[in-house]
Amino acid sequence: MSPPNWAVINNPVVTYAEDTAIWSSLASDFNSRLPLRQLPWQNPLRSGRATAPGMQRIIPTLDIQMRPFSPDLLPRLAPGGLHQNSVFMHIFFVGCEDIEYYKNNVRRQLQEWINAVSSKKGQEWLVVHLTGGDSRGRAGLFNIGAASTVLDKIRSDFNLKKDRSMQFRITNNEIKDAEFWNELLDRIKEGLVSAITQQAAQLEDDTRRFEQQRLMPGWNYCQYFILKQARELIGSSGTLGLHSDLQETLAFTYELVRFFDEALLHYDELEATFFQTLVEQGAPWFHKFGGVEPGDDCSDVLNSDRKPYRSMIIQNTITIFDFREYLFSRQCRLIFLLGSPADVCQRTKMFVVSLSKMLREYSVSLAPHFRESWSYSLCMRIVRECDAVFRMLSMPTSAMQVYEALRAELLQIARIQLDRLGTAKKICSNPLYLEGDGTAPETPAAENGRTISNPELVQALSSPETFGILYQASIHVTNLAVRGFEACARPRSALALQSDLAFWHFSQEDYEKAAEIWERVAFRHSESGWHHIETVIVECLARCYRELRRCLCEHLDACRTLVESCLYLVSHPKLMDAQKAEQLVDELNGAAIAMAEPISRHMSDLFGVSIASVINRAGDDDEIVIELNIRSVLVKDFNMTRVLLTLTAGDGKEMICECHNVVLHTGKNLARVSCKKSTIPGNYSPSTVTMESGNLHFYYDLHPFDRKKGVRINETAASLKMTASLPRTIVQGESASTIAFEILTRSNSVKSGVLSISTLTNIAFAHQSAVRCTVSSAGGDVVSTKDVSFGGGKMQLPDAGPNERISFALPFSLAQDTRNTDHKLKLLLSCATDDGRKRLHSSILRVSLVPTFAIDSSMIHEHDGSLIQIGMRCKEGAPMRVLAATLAATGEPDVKPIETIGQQIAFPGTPISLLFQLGAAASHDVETYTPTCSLTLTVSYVPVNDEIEAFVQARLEAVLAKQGLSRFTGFFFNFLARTLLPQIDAFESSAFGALDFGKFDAAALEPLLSDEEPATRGKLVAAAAALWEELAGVSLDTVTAESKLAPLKLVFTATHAVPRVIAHTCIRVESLSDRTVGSAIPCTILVTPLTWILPAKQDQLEVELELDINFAVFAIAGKKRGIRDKPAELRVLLCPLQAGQILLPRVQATVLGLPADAVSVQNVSTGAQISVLPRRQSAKIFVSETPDALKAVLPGRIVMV
Amino acid sequence: MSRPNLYFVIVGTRDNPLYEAEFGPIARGEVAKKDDLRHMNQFVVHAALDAVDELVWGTQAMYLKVVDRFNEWFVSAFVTPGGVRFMLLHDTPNTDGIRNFFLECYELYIKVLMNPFTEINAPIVSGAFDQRVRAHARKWL
Repeated sequence: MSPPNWAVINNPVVTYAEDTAIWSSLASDFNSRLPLRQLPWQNPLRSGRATAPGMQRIIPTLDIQMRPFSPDLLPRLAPGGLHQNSVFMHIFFVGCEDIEYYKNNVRRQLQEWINAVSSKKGQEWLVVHLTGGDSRGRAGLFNIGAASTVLDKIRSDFNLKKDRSMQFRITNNEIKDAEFWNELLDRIKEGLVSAITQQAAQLEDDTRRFEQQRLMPGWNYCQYFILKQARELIGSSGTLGLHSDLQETLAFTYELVRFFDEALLHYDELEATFFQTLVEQGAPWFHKFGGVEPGDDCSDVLNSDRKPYRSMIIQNTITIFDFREYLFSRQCRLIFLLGSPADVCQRTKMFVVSLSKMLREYSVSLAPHFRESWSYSLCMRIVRECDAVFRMLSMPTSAMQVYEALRAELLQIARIQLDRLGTAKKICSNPLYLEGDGTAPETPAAENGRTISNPELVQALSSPETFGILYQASIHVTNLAVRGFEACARPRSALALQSDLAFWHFSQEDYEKAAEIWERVAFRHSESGWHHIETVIVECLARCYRELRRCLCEHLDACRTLVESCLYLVSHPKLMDAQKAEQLVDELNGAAIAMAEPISRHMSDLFGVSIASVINRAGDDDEIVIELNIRSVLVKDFNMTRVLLTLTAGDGKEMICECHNVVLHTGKNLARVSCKKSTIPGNYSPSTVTMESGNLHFYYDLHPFDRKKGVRINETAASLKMTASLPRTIVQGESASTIAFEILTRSNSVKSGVLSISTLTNIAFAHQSAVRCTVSSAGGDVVSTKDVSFGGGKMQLPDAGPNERISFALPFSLAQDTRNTDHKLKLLLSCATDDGRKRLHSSILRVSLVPTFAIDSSMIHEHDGSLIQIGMRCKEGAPMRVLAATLAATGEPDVKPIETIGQQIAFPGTPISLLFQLGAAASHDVETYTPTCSLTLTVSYVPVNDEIEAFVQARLEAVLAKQGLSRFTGFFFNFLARTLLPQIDAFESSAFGALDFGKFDAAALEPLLSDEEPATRGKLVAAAAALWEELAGVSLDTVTAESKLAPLKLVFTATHAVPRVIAHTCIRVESLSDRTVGSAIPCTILVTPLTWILPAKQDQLEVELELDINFAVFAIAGKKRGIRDKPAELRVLLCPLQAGQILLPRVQATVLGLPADAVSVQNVSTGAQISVLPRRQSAKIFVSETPDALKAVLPGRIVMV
Repeated sequence: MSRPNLYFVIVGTRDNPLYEAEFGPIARGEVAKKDDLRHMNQFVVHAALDAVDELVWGTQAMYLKVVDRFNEWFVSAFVTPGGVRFMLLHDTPNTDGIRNFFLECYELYIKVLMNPFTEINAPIVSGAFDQRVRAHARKWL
């Protein structure tokens, strides 16, 4: 495979001359030592552009070409001197060893040769005298002397210095020969460098001088160009003497010595000078613009031998077009030689842009679409060549990325030409490139009879099919370009290229592919505000999906994307005409309804929403009406199937107002949304507005100012109510450990309810695996029970219908350091309604761990029964009306109150004592006897506050019913609850039995009725006034009678021991004489068993008696301890040791033979005292004690066995 | 030629156009066409931002000269120290004039920025700014 044209590099030429045929024997050895290596080079005058001043550069390798000398090879002195002669050095090989032969033949030849080569500037020459093995063999010692004589003769004849002559001795010894060869090559290298340096210096001077003459009349750029180029190919020494013709050769010089960068810089200077002189002087030296020859539009631009450019330049017959191409080809060649395809791409792009503009200006004289054809051919040619070079190079990733980007740009330019051609031929259309100046004018060019000659394009333009084939190939290339752009981090360029691709598919009615690409590209420009680009893309995308939808009804994605596209377009009506905007609105309406899946837009610019007014009527059944100001920027009416306004309260409670089929006109619109009042009380504030047109949903968050325009929903009789309190059962001696919860559903139902309980104070609810939930009806009948688990503060509630009660109890624990008895709980109930909507109920509850009444009880056993004393104290807060208190005991003992318990007010802190007597049941016997008795006290009570509230409500309902305003009951009751009830002091009312409701304040009521009609408002105010009249002077008894409030009940349980045998013990003083210290006092200890609980039995009762004597007070005579079964008396003598009132010793008795809980010992003489006088005291105190009286106190039977 | 000769745009740091202007003679009746082809200007300039992003790291100069070419159109760029890019789409190379135009516009832009109510990357809607930019365009371009 032959190398590309640009890769062929000229080599410097060295000529040789000889007296005999010597070179043929030396050539093989000489060639084997080429190329020359490590040639030092220093720019003689101006420093090289690519090197620092004065820096020496090394030419690594330089091949040379040996040619036999001929005078024709020498540079001619003709004007122009444009032959890029690369001859730099000349060598004359003298093989003569006979001095006579030299004198007669060789000297003349040598003289002629020296005359020829030394007359040229910038040429170096060298005379080499060869001696070798043959001569030595022939002449021996004599010949050695002769050889030296010939060289000396030459030197003396021509006055040669050593640097112009040398002797080359061939010895057939490799080492020695190598020395001679090295010396010869060094001489050649020195000579070459010297010659090149001379030529470069001369060219530099000439160039500078010629450049200075640029503004003088008659200056010719072409001549300057040739001279400059000569610098590249410094071998054209014959041109150096001319001032006006040579410039291009300058750049050639550096190319020859492989300084491609230097050469390129000179070409760049030439280009810059070209443009400068073009601006300053026009281009009078150019023959014509050119581009009219066949094949100009698709020529191989890298082949600089395609035309005799240099000759044309010298002859001033070159055209601008050819000149630009030639210059570009030289530049590209050098860059390729430098191994930088990326730079070639970059220059190609600049060149295409630059010349393309010129081609447009001269388009009249060119073939139709010449510009497109030329641009396409050039770009594709360069890309192919660059790819070939790129594959051979190993480049770092960064350089590869740069190359990919530049290559992609060229491919893009090429494809754009195809777009233009296709558009001009009406084969395809790309709205991105429909500019008026984008395509070549058809008419003038069509008249000149010329046609483009690129066979590829000619065939493509012959029919849409062939064009499509070519374009498809370019699409593949474009895809590569897109990947190239993406690889080199040029996303914007990649986007532009993808758009182009999509346009092609679109023009070919391949809507799916076009849409697929556009979907990736769409809405990416508008993110940063490039709306003009976005509009074009999205408009096409919309058309694409419109077509897709038309073709394929089930293409659901088409609808969706069509809607999205329309949305964008209608939001930018200024970017299109009014008619198109209106069509888009219609299309949006239609597509939104046909869409299968919803599309949501949050805070779209199409509409603006604010709250105009809020109408909250006072009637319980009235709706909440909210007027919305909706501003539409659409150019046409738009139908909204539904408009929703969501009002939210805390804890996720929400209320949704809605209206249907709203037509939004351009500009301001007023929409009224309404809904029934929620049964969940709270302060509802508007938060979001949702507007739906089919499945197209617009969401708008309302401004904080609008959010303040909320509505208050009060608790009504229909509201779900949650309560928490201590259980209504108190067990004596035990502290409360559970809290009872109740949920009254009222008009709501609870399905799939989840109750979340969070504590706001130092109270905690532990995890419970099973909590018994009871659902009961309003009448108290249990509907269902279910065990649910409670964990993490949440529990699943059983389903309950309207007017049902869910109750359960949870054990709690308190923090150790808390003394607070009031706690706060937050209950959040999430449940579903019958229509499946989720609802949230929340409530913050206060729970007091102190029961309404603090109750205690005690029992005293008597001979015929037991007395039960119950103390009841109302806790701090409001007074309670105690309606009844009943006591029941287990085992059916006979319990009866000692005195009648009627209704009474229990004021906080005031104790109430209740006294009951427990007698023996008739059915008691030993078998059914239990040693304990459980007492249950049930207290019915009503809080006075509740009583008053219920009374007010009853009167209110009556008054409103009378006037036909019952639907305002809820509103009025809330009004009264806020204004009237807080003014009533329950203590005062309870104490004095009368209530003072104050005067009716109409001014407080009227603002609340601002949303009502004036007539209704007047009626309501009158009804309120009538209510106040009704309430005036009401007594508490009336309140109690009319309130009809169901009483609350508190159950108190206590367990007391009921022994089978009660042993009364006492100590009785027998003597009535004076008791002085030291006197003996006879005493009798009596034991009396009582068996009233069970029928008397003739059982033996063995009693152990013991006196508990303080021996510092008494001395005793007799046994202080003993077991007595008969008699029932124990007699002892006590001797008091102290004077004064002395307590008698305590008698302890233990009944033997019976369990401890079956016996109760009651010491009736506990606390009895005697008076003891001192011995020497004169005064006497007589204390009368009657044994009969004692008997009366301790009656009963004494059974002693 | 239906397209205006020059298209100037100031591009913010978020790639958003802050100010757009078209200069040059417009033939009668071609206003509508001009609007139709405005997207073309944006396309070219938007794609040229890639080149600006590459070139800005290779020089300390604010004026980047011609950064991109599209057909016979040139895109010149000027990058402020804050990263705002001035892009000019033009059809004739006029390096010095464009440089001066950019510098004048830069001064105007600085004045706009000095307004305490100006937000960074907000579109410039000042009528005075527009008038002065157009005056400088007439002067230098």
